[in-house]
Amino acid sequence: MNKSLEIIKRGVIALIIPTVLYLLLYIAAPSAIGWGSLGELLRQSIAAAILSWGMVFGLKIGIWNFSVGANVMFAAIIGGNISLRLGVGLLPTIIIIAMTGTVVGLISGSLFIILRIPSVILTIGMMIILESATAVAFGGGGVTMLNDILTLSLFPNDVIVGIILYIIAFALMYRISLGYNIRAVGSNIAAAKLNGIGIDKTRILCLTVTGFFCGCYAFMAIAKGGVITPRVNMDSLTLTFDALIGGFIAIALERQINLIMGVFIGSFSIQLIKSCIIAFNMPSVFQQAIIAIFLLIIMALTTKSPFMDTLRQRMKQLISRKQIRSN
Amino acid sequence: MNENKNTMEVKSIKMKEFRHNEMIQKLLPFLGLIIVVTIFSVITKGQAIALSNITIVLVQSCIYMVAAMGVTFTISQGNMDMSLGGIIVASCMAAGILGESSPWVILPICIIVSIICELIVAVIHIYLNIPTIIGSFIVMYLARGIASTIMLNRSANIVLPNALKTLDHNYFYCFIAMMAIIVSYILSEYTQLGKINRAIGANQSAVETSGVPMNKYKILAFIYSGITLGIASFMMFIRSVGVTAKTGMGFETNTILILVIGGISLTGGSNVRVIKAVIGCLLFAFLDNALILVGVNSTEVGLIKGIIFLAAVAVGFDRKSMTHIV
Amino acid sequence: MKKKFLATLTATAMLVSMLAGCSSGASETETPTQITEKTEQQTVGENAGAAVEENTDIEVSGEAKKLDVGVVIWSVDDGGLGFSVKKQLEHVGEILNVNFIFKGGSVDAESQIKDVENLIAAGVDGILLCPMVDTTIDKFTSMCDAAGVKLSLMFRSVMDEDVRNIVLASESFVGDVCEAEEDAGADLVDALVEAGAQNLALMYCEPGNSVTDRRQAGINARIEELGINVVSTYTMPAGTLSAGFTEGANSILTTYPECDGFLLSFGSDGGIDAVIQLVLSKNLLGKVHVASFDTVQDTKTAFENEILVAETCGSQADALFAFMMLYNELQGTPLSDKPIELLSNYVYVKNTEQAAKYDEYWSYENYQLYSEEEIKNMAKVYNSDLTLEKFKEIVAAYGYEDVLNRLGL
Repeated sequence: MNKSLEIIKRGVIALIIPTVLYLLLYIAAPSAIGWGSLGELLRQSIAAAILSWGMVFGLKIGIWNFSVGANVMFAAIIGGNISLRLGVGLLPTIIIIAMTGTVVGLISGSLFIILRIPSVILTIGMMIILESATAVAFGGGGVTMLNDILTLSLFPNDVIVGIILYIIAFALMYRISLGYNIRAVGSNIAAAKLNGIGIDKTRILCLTVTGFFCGCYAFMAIAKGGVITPRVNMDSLTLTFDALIGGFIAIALERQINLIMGVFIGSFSIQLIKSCIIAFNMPSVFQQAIIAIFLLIIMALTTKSPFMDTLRQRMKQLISRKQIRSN
Repeated sequence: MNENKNTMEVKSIKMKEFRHNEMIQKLLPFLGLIIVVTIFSVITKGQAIALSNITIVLVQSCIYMVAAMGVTFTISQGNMDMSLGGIIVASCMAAGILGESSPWVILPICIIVSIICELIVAVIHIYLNIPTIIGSFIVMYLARGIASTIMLNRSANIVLPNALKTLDHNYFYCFIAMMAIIVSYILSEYTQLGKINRAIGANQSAVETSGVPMNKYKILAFIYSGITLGIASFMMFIRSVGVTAKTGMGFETNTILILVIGGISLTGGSNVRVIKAVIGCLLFAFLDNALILVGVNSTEVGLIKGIIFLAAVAVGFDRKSMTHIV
Repeated sequence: MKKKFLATLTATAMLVSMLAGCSSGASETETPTQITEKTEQQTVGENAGAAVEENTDIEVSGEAKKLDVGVVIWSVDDGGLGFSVKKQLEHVGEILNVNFIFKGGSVDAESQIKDVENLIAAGVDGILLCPMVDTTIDKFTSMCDAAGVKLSLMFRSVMDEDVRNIVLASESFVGDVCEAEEDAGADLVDALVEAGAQNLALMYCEPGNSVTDRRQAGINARIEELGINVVSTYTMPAGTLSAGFTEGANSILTTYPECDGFLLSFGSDGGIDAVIQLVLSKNLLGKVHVASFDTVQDTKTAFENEILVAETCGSQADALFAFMMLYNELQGTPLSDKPIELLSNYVYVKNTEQAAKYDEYWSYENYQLYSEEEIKNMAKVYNSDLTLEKFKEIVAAYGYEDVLNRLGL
């Protein structure tokens, strides 16, 4: 009974953020509230969550991966063009694109181990190379796929894909040894090493998994519009940052809920923020700034720091003084 | 007795090897610059090292050089600042709008706004315990968002006042860069600020336990970074003859490339030197210029830059200074 | 350690020289580094003249020099207008023996200034430029004046009066070509209203791009004139992928279910396709309409589904006209001794039939907008009868009907 109550309590805490945002949206645009619009917002969150799932594996082990956005473009453009030239159907196309992203992740992981340089540096270099490669490959025109793949963006296909990938992400993080190893290395690398966990192998696998989810996001991105064009000059960082936010929110909520669900809650919260911005008629150019403030608040509340500890103590003292006075 | 002698000999050999490797680490960026310049001079049949071209490369590197001088102070602590481009656009925009009444406030406003933004990054890092990379991302997006919103509501462009157009000259940029290098070198090599910054990057806990007011030095480093970034913003404003929402796009990632190509470790520590940042700026500007001289199109330039970047890091990165790679 | 270092550098040097040897561009003959070696004009020669005579009745009136031209543009990899400009110029370069160096990706003034400086250092004869910021144009002209390099602007005209006076007095400035962006924006509003849209969502580009700024100004003015309701103005952050358009449009439709029209001020990078696909996926055919600048990948289907009502596209000819002005100047046969300012036309696509033809004849796969003969007709060195007035007629004539007529359709 206590355990069930504990689980419910944690779930409620985890859902506070999206609930507050949903209420704000209700105030701003009552017409937007309804089961239909809730369903729409949940569906919108799926694609962003896919990329954040990949990101969270790296964040958990302490790897900063700035090449995630570039990997998505590479998987979409290279994988997509290969499948067009082979003339294959939907399932092989999905597999080719996902595998392209996975291979890039594997290469990143291998380079990380061989070169022994910080992940930030490696992934920035990979980002530059991948972006340029997409701009050069296949004449630089990107990829246009106006075929069966577009059906993935329709209901219920997108939801089915989301559920399948959720199960895969959850299994990878919590049901197989890779997930245990990632969490062990992320918590205490020295202890993990002493326990016989292969640090290098774990890192390679972690980056490969990130690459897999980049590939999955790539085919969902193609499904949404049918066209992906190359981005250079580090433009893909926008996508990377969005994925990072989802990952950070998940880590901030880790005590309440598992990382994978935490990512989805984070993505959903961001969709709500974007809808609130539109509903309140705020300039949409301010969107990234508002999301950044939101991230700051979440991280400030969930990161241990002397300043926040002092603030919490003072808040408690203030509350207890008020209680005493009212008594 | 013999064992002691052998141990001493082994230690002596190891010390020589260590000094040898340290020497190579120090010389690598210089050698890299010389070799790259030589290769491109040969390929371009001397066009790359023509006086007019060298002048262009020097001028193009000035803005990054001034900004990089301040960034070396924060990087030496192990704090990676990704807010540079956002701070540049915010400070240029604030200065441009306020400068419409008087052009002489432009430089002070650029510096003040940059310092404020850097202090926000510092506060987020020091008092909220959030890694600088995340804090600086937050500040970057905040600054860009504000700048874009302001631009959206303006009917006229923000242009450089005519009084300041006379400063748009090669000598001006080179002079400012030279001054920034000299001041930064003195601060870094001959003052407590530089030494303690590097010590923080090398071993923060040791610095903390030694009683040094670590937070004070961290804040000072961010303030100095703000000052140099403010000056760089001023130079950018003059050179661009105005400001738009896209001013400074990609500045932070180019700066990281510059520092890494120059041989600076992004995790900070004792190998962070001002001179390496200077070499990184020159190398970066030279590569950009030389690849166009050679006829490489922009899409291929990125590919080459990325490969050279990874190659430079693979060869020159000081792995021994890290307890573990992350 | 040393060996590793030397090996890496050697490999890098090899890679660079390899790339130098096979640098892309219209011509594979010379690179800019060999420009300083050119001591004599390279002539087309009697054989080439004979080849021209075999195909057409155009007489070779002079000697055509081989040229190196730098092109500074927002992107050549956007899969849309920038990409079309590159393909078109490469085709023209093959015909006229011009080597192009493309410099894309610079979206702010300082980066473009660097690009122009580097191209001048590379020894180009002329620069074809699409400036991102109007107020820097006088700086570009003064740089080109100092270097003796000619400059032509594409997709822009000089709006700022002070800058304009300086630019028109410059020796290096050949001229500019642009479209009537405000009018085009107003036309798209009219197309949506005609289709029955009453509650519009505007999807705009971030401020700072003078082309989209003008389009947006034209759209806003027309909306105010007609008193149309705007449910949301959504500005796309820089660097947005097509999925970002989907997200933005989806948020708008969720928050404002009464929205029945989307107007995009730019649609390259798959933006329009994303919005159209979203309307399809939400089964809003006939209820929500879209009008946009730039091109959809499958224009015909978008019209068949009655989602797209109007598309303003086909402006890649702008770059061709701006280049031909520059080409004539560089060949020593200028079209005018004063700077030339021209307005080029958009191609409006408003129904399925036009869409099908646009998809086929503007895609650069099997057809070119101008044939070899027509391109040489725009060059005085091949066509001594060419005058500024005749050139202006060619520019003014460009449009949907013009291209089809010249292709014999």
